Amino acid sequence: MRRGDAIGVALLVVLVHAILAYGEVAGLRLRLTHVVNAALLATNLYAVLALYLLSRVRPARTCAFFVAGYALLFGVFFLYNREWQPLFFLYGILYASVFRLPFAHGLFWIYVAAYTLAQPYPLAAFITVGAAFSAAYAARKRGAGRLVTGLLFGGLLAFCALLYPLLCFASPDSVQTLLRTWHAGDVRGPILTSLLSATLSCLVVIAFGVPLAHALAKARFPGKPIVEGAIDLPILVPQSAAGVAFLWVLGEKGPLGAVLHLPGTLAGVVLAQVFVSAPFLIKAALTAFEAVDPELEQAARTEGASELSILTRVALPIASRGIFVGAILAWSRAVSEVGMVAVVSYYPLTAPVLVFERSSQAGIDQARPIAVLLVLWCVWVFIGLQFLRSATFARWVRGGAP
Amino acid sequence: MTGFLNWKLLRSNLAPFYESYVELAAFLALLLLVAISMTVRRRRQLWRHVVQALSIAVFFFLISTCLGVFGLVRNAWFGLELPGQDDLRAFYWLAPTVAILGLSFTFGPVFCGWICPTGALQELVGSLRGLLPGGAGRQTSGKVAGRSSDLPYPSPAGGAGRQTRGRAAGRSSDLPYPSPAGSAGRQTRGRAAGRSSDLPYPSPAGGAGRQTRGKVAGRSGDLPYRLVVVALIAAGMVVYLVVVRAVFSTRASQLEDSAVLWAAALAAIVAVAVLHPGSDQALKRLRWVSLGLLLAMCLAGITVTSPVHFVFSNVHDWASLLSSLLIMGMSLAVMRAWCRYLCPFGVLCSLAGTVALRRITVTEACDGCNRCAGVCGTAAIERGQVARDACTMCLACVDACPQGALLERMEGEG
Repeated sequence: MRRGDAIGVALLVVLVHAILAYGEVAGLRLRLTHVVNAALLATNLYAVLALYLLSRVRPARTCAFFVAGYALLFGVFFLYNREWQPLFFLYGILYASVFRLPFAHGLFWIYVAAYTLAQPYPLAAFITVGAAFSAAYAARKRGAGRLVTGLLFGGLLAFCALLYPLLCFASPDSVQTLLRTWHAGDVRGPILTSLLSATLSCLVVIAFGVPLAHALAKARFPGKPIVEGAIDLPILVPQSAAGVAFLWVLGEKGPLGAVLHLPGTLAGVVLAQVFVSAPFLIKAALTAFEAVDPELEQAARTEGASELSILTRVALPIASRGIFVGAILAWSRAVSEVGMVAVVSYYPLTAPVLVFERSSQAGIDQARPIAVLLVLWCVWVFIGLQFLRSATFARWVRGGAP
Repeated sequence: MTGFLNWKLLRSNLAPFYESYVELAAFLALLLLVAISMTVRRRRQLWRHVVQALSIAVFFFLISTCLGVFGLVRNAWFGLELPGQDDLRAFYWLAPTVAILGLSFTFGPVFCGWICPTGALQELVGSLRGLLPGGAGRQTSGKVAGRSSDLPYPSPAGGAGRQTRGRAAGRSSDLPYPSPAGSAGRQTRGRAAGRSSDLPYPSPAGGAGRQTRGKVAGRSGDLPYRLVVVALIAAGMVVYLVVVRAVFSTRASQLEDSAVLWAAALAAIVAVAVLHPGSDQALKRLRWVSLGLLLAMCLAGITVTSPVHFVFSNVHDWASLLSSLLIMGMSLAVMRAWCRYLCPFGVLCSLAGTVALRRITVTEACDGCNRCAGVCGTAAIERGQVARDACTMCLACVDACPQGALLERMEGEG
């Protein structure tokens, strides 16, 4: 597009707008006020300018795409629905500005699509699709192939679709609402109980799970596959059923109930959470210990290290990353447990049980702010732990490499 | 009193847009003016100042919606949620921001350099620096780099003075780049100034380099002068806070205090910038902190007003007026201090500007006289390179280059 062409197109645009302003065009019946007409003229002229500048740095095919996209915006937001007309000015200017920047351009269309098609929760749609797009774009920039990029985008999109309800769920609450809920009094206790009991049960699981995993990784004995399978049993057994079984043993009339008095105490909550979260840690630790190179241990042994120091100074540091991942999973599982905790030890109330109680008694609306608070707390602890993991272990691995 | 204070000339919107209260015509006219002015080559800086003066008039007397540097961010934040629910209000909140950022993607952050009244007023006050006792002399001696860039047009005498008087003349006369524009990343070069004549851009005017030079050359007037500036800033801050607290404590809302907090933060930053000129580059990243804070406030539903808020709307907020004066005053110490270190909208424009189609390129005609760095209001030029994340597209460097080596070009042009 030469400069003369651009000026010609611009003059044409001006002519069309002059006709629109001073004469009714047969059949079109747009009925624009002068101000709207002028604003439309400004937007169109800017688009012509952008097209002219674009044509100097990009091939003609790209320019055709530019025109097609602009026409699409014009058709949808100006002609198709009169109510949307004010949006056209925003979208038109933005489109003409960001067209040559692939990342911003992609986000632009995602925004437009989200706020046109995904009402009434467009923000959640924009965030999820935008995040998937950003990740795929960054991967492509760093040399990922087309197939990998496509798979990444599709997979992330599907995964984000799972998280979509969570985002929709959080968006109507302002920070003030959440703060009010937090300060209401009867919410803070359960949430703190949840965090405390989950941390305690995580520690308990580590205390007996890590040695067990180490032993399982090293020892050979008949029936080992059965033991390894049995570790997964708590995942399989429905939590309410497991809770009933525990009550059978530990309840008022059970054989151990008279001695321990677990139901109704924090220890009862912790016991229930330990039951459901133990498999996650043990499995992760087992995999981590199995991945430790036996030759390293052999070398340590020939140097005269004792069994204990081989465990603490060779196997544990190498497996610690996997154990930490398992601990995060175990903590997350423990903090989110409802069924078993509710059966074994309803009080002290934990937050998931409180959410369950509120939603079944007072309704969804009452339960929602609490649930949002709970989700926020858990997500932030989870993110914090993951961050700690990558920060800590990355340094260990770097520093420890010979 | 209120009649006196109501300086807005318009009582209703200039042009009804879809029969609604959307008044943008004046604003869009300014943008149009920029578009025209950008095609001007001769006496461009004069045109720029004309546009700036017009924009101050427009913002003072015509625009009554909140279009401050905070308002532009905050309005856009509110507006982003509205398309599809209330399109007209979405347009109302978003249009100025979209127009400015859109132009920034194409032409660079022209809003900052040509229209923004905050920037224009700072330039105005900053240019008064030469009138201060000792100010001009200091400036031409080129001691504090950030400040030597104040004059939009450095007189040839100033440039010469900078080179001869400015630093140990025996050493610097053979340097291709006796750059007075100080900022970070120069400590090493500055230290190496003695043997740096073989480097392409030795630019000895860094923080460390300057200090050692000061000691070596025995120019003891350097540090006390900075201390005086810092002390004045601190004293001004205290007076300011006391006055705001004592006299204007009857304000209906305390939200305007945010203006005070931002201005006070700027004073502290300027104090650091004056004492450690090498920290300029690092301090510029504080704009992101400022933007983050503002967005966090938006998220929390707390309205904060910008230090130059008093210009807008009919709320004549004295705290904002005082903080505006303080911010203008900062330009006496560091030119365009607000734009450099704290402007939350400026950093968005800069972000768009880094990928903008139009850019300033340095051709091979450059002979390293470094006059461009001297005229840059935001110390964006270092060793003959324009840092696009700090550039405001005022094009003063292009106009100041005696070789015509700096050109504003489109991406992909030769």
